[in-house]
Amino acid sequence: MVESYDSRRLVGIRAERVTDVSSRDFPGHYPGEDHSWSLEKFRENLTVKIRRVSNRSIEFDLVGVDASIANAFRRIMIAEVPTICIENVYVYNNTTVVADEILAQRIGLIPLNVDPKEMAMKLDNESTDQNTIVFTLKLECTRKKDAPKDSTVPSELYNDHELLSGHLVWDPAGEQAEVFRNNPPAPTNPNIVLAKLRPGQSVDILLHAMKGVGKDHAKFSPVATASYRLLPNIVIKKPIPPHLAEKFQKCFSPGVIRIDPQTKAVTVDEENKRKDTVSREVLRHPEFEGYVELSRVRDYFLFNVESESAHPPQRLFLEAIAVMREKLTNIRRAAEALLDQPPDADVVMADP
Amino acid sequence: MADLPPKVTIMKGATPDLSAATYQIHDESHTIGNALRWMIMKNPKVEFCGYSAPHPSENVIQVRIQMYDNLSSLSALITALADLDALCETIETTYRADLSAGKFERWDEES
Repeated sequence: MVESYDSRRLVGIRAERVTDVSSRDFPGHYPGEDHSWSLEKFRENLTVKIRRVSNRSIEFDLVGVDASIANAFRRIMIAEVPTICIENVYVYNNTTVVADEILAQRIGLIPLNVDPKEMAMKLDNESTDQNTIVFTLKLECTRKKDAPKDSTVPSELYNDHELLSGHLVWDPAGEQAEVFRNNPPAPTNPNIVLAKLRPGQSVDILLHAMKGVGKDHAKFSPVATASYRLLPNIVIKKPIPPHLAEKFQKCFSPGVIRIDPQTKAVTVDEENKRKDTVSREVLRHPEFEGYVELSRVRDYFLFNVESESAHPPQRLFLEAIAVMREKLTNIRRAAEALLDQPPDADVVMADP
Repeated sequence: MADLPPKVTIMKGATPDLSAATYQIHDESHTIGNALRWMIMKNPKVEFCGYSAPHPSENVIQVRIQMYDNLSSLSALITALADLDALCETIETTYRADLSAGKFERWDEES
């Protein structure tokens, strides 16, 4: 079945430019049409379809929303969904070749498996068991007594020659032992190399992990990527000549164009057209001029989110919605406070 | 901790009936700015709405709203905020419904 989209929903893609980029679904833009906000209409047009989920990533379609909304969720997933990371590093001893501040920076980037819901944001300078998790990191490299004489392999020659994220030891405080009983705080990946050591070198470090958001420091970002693209739309205007069918197919990503083995009839694979990269290769060939129209669907967002935190990938979008709603509530409360001021009272004026 | 500036203020130059006003929202960015502008512009009584993030060193956005018929831009702002919240709730419900339906491909990714 060939899906066709209302031309108003399409962003045109020409050889050297894109057309109709902005949304125009505002009241007053189309004479005689009602484009004012209606929750019922929105609910009718909204589709959310989850496509693929793995332990680390999720792909889903969000259809029927404006770019400003989709972009808000993307931005929030990157910068404003809180996670737990190591924020303070107290170096008591570090005789490795890695300088203290470099090591501290590397330690800060380790993703931890702590559910941010279990912790509070540290708002003032007071550390409690609700807002701080303490780790220690101690390692000393020694020579192996029974090492083969002619070996040059560090793992055969030395004990503890690599400082790994797995060497973090959680030090429970207060109620933490109870709260985190089923899932003790630890790095999500125990094999991250933080520093390499040689006999006689050692580290002794105390670490404080706390809750933060990606806009403060990228280490707090819960995602590796959170991105969307618009659904590609390919319309074949008139039948492609059979002798050009294969050349036409090669202009698109694999699987996007189907050729009937008997008739050599060329069609777009509706399931696979999302795989197209919209390279516009087909527009470079004069023999295909007028045969095909490329576009993207303006309100059809293909999200791809990779989790790099304690959150399972399918929860990240929900967390973003929760953050968004909290922001809206805060602004609304502040705006309603302005409403209560008597009409003649001086409203709070910000400097221009 | 130092006192936070008010979340929303009305900037100088607003008309007394607030039919045209610029609102300064503290600690917000394009994330809220663009979504809010879109929702305010969905209101047929709004003549104009635009927003800006004036300078990266100032942690604020400014939203300008001008209304037809001398209506209050403040109530238009509040309505838009409520509508955006309803929109978010709808998306959340739909997403949750599709997630619990479980009709998606599952695969294992090396990490």
